[in-house]
Amino acid sequence: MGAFILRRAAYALLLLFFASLLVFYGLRLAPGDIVSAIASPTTEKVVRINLTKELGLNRPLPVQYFVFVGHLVTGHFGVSIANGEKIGTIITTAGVKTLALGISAAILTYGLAIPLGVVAAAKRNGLMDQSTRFLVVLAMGIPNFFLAVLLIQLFGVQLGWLPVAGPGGISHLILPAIALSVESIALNVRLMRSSILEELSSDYIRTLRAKGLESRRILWIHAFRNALPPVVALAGVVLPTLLGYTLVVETIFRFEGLGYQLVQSIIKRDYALAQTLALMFTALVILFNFLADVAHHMIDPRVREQGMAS
Amino acid sequence: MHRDETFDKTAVDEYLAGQLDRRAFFQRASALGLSMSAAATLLAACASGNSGGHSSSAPVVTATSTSVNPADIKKGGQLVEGYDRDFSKIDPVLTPWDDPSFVAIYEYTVVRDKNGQIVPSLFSSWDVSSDLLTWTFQLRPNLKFQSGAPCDAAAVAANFNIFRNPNLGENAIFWPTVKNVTSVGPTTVVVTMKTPFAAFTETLATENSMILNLATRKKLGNNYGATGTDGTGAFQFESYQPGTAVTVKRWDEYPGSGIPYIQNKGPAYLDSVQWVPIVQTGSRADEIETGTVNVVKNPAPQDVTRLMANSGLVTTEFPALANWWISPNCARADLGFNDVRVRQAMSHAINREALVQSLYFGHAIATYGPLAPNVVWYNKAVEQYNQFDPDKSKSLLDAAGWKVGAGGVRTKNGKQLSFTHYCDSGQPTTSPQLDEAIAPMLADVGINMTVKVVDDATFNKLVYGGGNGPASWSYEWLWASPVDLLVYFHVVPSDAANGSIPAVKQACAAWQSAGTRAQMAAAADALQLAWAQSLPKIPILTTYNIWVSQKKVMGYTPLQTMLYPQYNDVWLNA
Repeated sequence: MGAFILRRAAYALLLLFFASLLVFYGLRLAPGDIVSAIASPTTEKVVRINLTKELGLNRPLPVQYFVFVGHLVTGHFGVSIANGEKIGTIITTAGVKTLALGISAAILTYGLAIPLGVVAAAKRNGLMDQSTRFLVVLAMGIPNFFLAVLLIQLFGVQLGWLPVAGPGGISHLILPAIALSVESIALNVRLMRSSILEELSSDYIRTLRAKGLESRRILWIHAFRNALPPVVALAGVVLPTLLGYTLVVETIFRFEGLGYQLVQSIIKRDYALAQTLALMFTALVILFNFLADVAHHMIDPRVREQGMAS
Repeated sequence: MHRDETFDKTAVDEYLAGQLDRRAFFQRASALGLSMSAAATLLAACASGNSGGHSSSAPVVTATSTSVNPADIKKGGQLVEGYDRDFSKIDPVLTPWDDPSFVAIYEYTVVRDKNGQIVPSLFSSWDVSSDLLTWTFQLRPNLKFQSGAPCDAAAVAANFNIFRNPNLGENAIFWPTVKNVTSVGPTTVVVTMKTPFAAFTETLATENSMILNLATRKKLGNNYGATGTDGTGAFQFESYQPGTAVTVKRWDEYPGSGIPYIQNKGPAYLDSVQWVPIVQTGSRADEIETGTVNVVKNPAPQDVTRLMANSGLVTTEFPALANWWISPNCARADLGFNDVRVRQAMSHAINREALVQSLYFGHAIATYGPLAPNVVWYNKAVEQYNQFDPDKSKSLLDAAGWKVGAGGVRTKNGKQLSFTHYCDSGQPTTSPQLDEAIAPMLADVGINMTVKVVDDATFNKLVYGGGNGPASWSYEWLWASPVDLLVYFHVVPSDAANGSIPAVKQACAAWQSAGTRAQMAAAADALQLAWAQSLPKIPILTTYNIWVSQKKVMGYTPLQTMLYPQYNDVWLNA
């Protein structure tokens, strides 16, 4: 187990290194620059040149890269060029909002998807199953940005039940969390349902039935436990996807989390902030995958044995 | 090209009359397989001559301020205003554009009233010498910055010297005739000119000439305007987070405004003002209708009729101090843009009225010269030029030697009249759609314009980063002293890109050396006529500034002559 974790951790660090290169040079390759973003058309050329020097953007790119990496390693991320605020402060402030949104979306995803998937499988081809399958197809077909607009119109503008934009209390979280999680709920319902169906048709379930075990116990204890590993494995994909969708959902709901900040910093070519946030998103995706791999390894004996054999 | 005249004449008219809601409008467009820009293009062909809606030369104002009994005024509370773009640094010396927070934090030395006349603010009075070369301004006594430092004549003179220094900021181009600035005693500022410059007070009445404490700016360095500010206005800096919010709080020691039309002569009524950027045009109406914000600037044009019908809201609209134009790069002789006939042909191919009706639902006004009709210097004679006339457009292109070739695109010497046109997605109004609607109009006369939408940073680098710029681009300027801006833009990004047109240059020089208001008017007239005829840039339309506020917001009075309303008189009738 220890060797597995070490191997995975080394792999994650290597990925992070390549990601840092991509993020840094990718931003520099984008047309335009921070000086063009912060200077007016009426700004004289000499002022633009001075600004470039003051911001350290006249130095060779490899030097700028090592300054960036140095900041990351020492934990001093520097300041945003656009607003002079410490990047650490921005990450903390926006991170709390994104974390709240992400946790809400994850709770919605797994809190709804797992029971719905299990019940749909247990009542196969019944009304509940048919309705769930219909909703799953619908949810997977609606792009989240479009769903966000529909939710705003219905629950915000028409019914006036929920706020349509901006950060705030729990009420401000509801619509963004729904928009963020609907697709992953659908994916997980579908996976959970098929996984349970597969388990329910297994020999060991028939044996348990023959032994006269209560069907509810068979479903929720035996079949459920064995149907869970694919859902856990998918979490390594679903959670980073949720993170990626925050860029869109936070922008639509003017919910000023990390995704929103990343979009704004890229538009402004606020290099220091954009590259730190982009790399942080990458690191989180790698971390989620790493944790999912470890969890999958822990709960599924088949994977564990396969790993040991290899 | 397929054109559905029924859709044009009924859907738009019904929408404007309030008989069709937004959803039904787009359902109908969608049923015909039209995107918004495609609908606009189709409408363009049959809306010629339709000048309904608000597209008259008269400005439209649907709400004005009213006097209130001081005893009824409620103090306190926060005004939340939805702004139509993201924020720039709150620094008059160096910033890409000016936001409404400038007006709350800083003060003008002089300012325009609702009729465009220059009236006092920090300066209480001023005189000009008989040779028109020396301006003597009297500053109101005992003024202070929010930090407590004195705002005396020396501080104001130092500001003026920074503004005119080409190595330090972005304003120098507006101060070319200023020779020297000095202070005499605590309240007298003397400005000496190289040549007469009657337009000087026009320059002073802009946000980039607002007075700040330069000592604080030096102390904060590049972070000035982001982590702190120091002005003399009614509100102090509290926080600045681009993309999120700018917040200011009342300055309790504010001595009161010197602007005659501001009724509140003491500190502001509101505790604070917060601006939030609502960059998605379609979200602005939602946010004011649901009460997320108290005021919103420039909701989507298709939402305005609905908002006007909302009894809980007050809508004010008038043409902005702006003009939206497209700039064929006159340095591109290979595309014929150095030939005035080609530029005129492009201009005649564009149906401005159709754009106003179909894209802006009447909440914009077609422009045939470089200024909007509500600008005090407007010359109506420009309207004889640039009218929609596709036949004339085709004749001009023929005469210039551009003949229709393969695929309907004109060619000359083997070169197709085909180019990429850049559009800035960071503009607050619907500029990408506007460009996309213009492209098929040009195609109708054989000009192939491919629209490429880029963000602010890319656009600014391409157009203003040096050289002559790309083949073509669009831009909407917004400036409180519009003629000053024309003087600037006729050489930006380069003289060659603007055709180096003698009549335009002569008129610009005349404006910058005008000694009297009559000479200013004559110069402005000449400049507009020369511009409309020779088209260094092709004027298209002026969008309306539309402000929607909740009924409880009192004293909120945008003026046509200034970019943003003052916040001194604003209070919340909760």
